[in-house]
Amino acid sequence: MQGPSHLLVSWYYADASGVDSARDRRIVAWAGLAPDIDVLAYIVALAWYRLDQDLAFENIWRVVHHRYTHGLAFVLLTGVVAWAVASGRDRRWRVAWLAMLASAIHNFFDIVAGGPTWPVYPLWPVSDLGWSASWSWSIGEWPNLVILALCFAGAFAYAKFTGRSPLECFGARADAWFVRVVREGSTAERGSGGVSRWIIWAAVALIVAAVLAPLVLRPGG
Amino acid sequence: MNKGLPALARWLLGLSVAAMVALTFIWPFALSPDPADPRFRIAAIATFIVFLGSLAALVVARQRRP
Repeated sequence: MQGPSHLLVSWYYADASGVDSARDRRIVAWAGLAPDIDVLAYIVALAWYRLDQDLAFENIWRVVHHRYTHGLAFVLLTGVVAWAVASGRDRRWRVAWLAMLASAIHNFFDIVAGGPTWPVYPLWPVSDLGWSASWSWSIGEWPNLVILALCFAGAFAYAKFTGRSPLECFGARADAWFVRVVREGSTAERGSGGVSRWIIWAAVALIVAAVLAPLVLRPGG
Repeated sequence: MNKGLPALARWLLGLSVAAMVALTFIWPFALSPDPADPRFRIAAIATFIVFLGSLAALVVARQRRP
């Protein structure tokens, strides 16, 4: 699954679980994306090998991806971080628990929808057993694209009907702006002198880049 | 929306998440590490569909909540 799908599904999961604080929903959502933080290794490798994709892929990405951040150890680490940053003492344990589940769900999704050539390592560093499914669909196949499209459609529906949206992952102002644009449409854009229009197109371009970059740069899952 | 449906969806969501954890962290060690195991395929796809379906139902229910 694409990164945005992991983030959005985790936000929906937090909301569906009754997490009422925007900050805590944000924590659970980012916890659901957190295992893909290993993409930073690929970016560093690209810089290290002076943008040679083949070298970065063979020497770093093939070794690192899914190995260290897609397992129970990272799930537990996610829980510790979530517990530390959650709002309110009484909610900490629940937010940490949901964050760990969101991280675990990410692992399952990568087995089912991350491609057969990218196993996860559930019990690393205790066990080095890689776990994948031979029938797993890869990142650019239609089920993943349908899920991504539904996640985006859900974001618009949430903004329209509830007055909040998954954009709160990027902050309260981003969420408030998105809700206003969705609810008020073109009148909101006129009021801000057309700046909103440019922001929307920039956001769309970023999302498209986020989806296509893994396909172009080859790292899957 | 029927009041019982969100409760059912919540129950199915919890069940599917528990199944995901089991399929990811227990199955390959306790049952079979074979990536082509047909039993795993059926269980995983069923879990995947139940999770997304129950999540969608709860999301719709929350959007309709006054």
